[in-house]
Amino acid sequence: MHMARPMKFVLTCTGVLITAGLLLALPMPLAAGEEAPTVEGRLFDPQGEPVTGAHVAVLDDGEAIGEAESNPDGSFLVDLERLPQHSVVVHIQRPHFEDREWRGTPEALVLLENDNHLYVSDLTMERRVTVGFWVATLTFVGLLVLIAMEKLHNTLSALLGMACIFLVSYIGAPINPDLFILDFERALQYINFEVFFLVLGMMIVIGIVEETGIFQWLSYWAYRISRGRVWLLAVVLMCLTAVASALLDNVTTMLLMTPISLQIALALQMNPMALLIPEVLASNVGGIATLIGTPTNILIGSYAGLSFNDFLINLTPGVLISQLALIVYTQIVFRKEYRAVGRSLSPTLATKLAENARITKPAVLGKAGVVFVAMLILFATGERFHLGPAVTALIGSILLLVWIQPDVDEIMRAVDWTTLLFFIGLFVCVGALEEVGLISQLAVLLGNLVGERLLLAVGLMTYAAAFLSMVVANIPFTAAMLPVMAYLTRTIPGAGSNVLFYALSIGAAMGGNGSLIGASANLVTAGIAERAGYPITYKMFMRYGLPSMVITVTIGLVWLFIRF
Amino acid sequence: MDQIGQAHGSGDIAGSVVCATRGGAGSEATVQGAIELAREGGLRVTFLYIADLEFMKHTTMGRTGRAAEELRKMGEFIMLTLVEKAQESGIEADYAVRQGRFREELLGYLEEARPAVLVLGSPKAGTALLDWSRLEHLMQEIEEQTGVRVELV
Repeated sequence: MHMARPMKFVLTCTGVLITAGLLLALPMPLAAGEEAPTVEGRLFDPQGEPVTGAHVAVLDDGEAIGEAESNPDGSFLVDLERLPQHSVVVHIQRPHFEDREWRGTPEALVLLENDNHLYVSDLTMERRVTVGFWVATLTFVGLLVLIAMEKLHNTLSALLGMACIFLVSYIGAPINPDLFILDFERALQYINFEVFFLVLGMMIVIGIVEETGIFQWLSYWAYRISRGRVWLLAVVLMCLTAVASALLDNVTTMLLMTPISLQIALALQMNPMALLIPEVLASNVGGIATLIGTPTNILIGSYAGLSFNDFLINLTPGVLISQLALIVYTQIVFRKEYRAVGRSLSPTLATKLAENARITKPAVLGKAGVVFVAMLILFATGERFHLGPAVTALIGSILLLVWIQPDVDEIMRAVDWTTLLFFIGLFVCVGALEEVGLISQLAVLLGNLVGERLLLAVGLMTYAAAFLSMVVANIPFTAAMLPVMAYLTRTIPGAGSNVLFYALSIGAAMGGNGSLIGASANLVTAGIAERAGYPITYKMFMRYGLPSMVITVTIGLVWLFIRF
Repeated sequence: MDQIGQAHGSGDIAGSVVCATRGGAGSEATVQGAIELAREGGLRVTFLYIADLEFMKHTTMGRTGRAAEELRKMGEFIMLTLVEKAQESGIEADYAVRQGRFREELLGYLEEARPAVLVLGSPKAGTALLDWSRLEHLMQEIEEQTGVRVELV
């Protein structure tokens, strides 16, 4: 019995020690208030673009002890449930990328234990070409073909593309995970709401201005002051169209200018083509002069963070020189038509022309003029107080609506919702291309082609964009090329001035002059002319448009070389 | 299918020649043919313009209301030049402008106006709106539905 007590004591002590040892060996959960250990790092694709939305897990002996998702800048911060005991492994998964694993050394483990924090060096994730890659690519190509062939409305084409992407991602991915492209939440991140609201705001303003008859009145005024000198009339109409396109949008400008120009041409008994073709060429060139002049400039400005003033300083002078060259060119090619002297109109026709060209709402025009000038001032100065163009357009359009109090239903009908929906569908389709890595591959391909030669890159981009815009709708093309330009801007020495974005602007918009289908303004002009019995054929447009495109694009390019 | 214009002038429309045209150089022969027909029959000629916005259906342009209004004004002006031309030839003339799809609007107008003859441009001119097969089908449809005689010029 006496011997039993020490034995019991020893056994008890041994049991306590073993238990304590086992407890110490087990991972210790964090006490309340104790700061969690963290693992931090950043993820990039092979082109140095941050990888966002990647699933990052920190493993200890195969067991996940913390998980997180990478941020838009590629960074991740994983809060750990506890300190790892044996090893620290970071496992990263992301659709369209190969799985990536980072294994920490024993020193890293010690560091984590000592500092309660471990910074993993920047990690590069390799791209993986999946079935989804091909689906997204074919969807985008299909979208471009549908638009080019006019088989489906542009907006329906873009929305169909978006639907295909979601259908494959949600229905196809459970069958084959490689079919996944992107989910709805991710797709929403690709929609550029700055572009959406800038275009919406400008549409409201344009919808109000176009009802006033100002374009028609200005055209009629040009007819009156030219006094039958057709060459002068053409110059004035081209200048009017260019200025209107720089401040409003090209399609609206041509929608309003074409019918009245046709009437003026018929009044002068001249071939309307000699007025309409120069006008639409001037419209496509003039639109590039400002940030708000074309949808492509709005896309570029928003993506690259270029302000209204950036466009004014870096692009407008080049556009003015191109416009001057365009005027000289049209005066030469239409010299026979311009030699004609206009006849005097009969009183009935003169009255009708004047009636069709009168200002219908002078009070609204006055108010719209005040608000529009204020908006232009804000576009130019807003940068100083962080007022972006989209907010300026929204404020201006809403104030104008409140001031003139039009029929809201009527104004909402004037807003081109189809275009806004087109942008949404397009952003998702282009987002899908980015997601699957096509844009990255294209960027690398172009990067390898031009190397570090900035002049070559600027020249190549300008002409490639111009010639491609002749056959491919320039808005989807521009949207898809923006990340490529961003990559080249980062990798080519000296490209930090954003010159490549201006090259894209010149190429994509002036390229519209190369063919009838190159720009929506061309199609609207041709459609109206055809309704007056003066069809503009593809061949006819190209005969005048293609040389003008080469001239203006080359001048624009030379300007970029001088400016940058 | 809104009717955004109306016939101008006066007189019994049933005794008239209707010339559906867009104007333009390619329609000169058609217009002249209609004027000659009117002269021969001692009839009045009505020039009909249909503002068809089909060309806008594939663009991103959704604001067809403004386009329709501008086309109406343009159509009126073009038709007025034709009216003057007919009047210079000593023919009584007027015009009508309608907006909508060409086929439907043309049939609708003819149902209402019941003219003696409809003059359409022949596809031979090269700038005609309809090709031969579609035109023949339309002519048959017009004669069956409205009883109006169709002359191709």
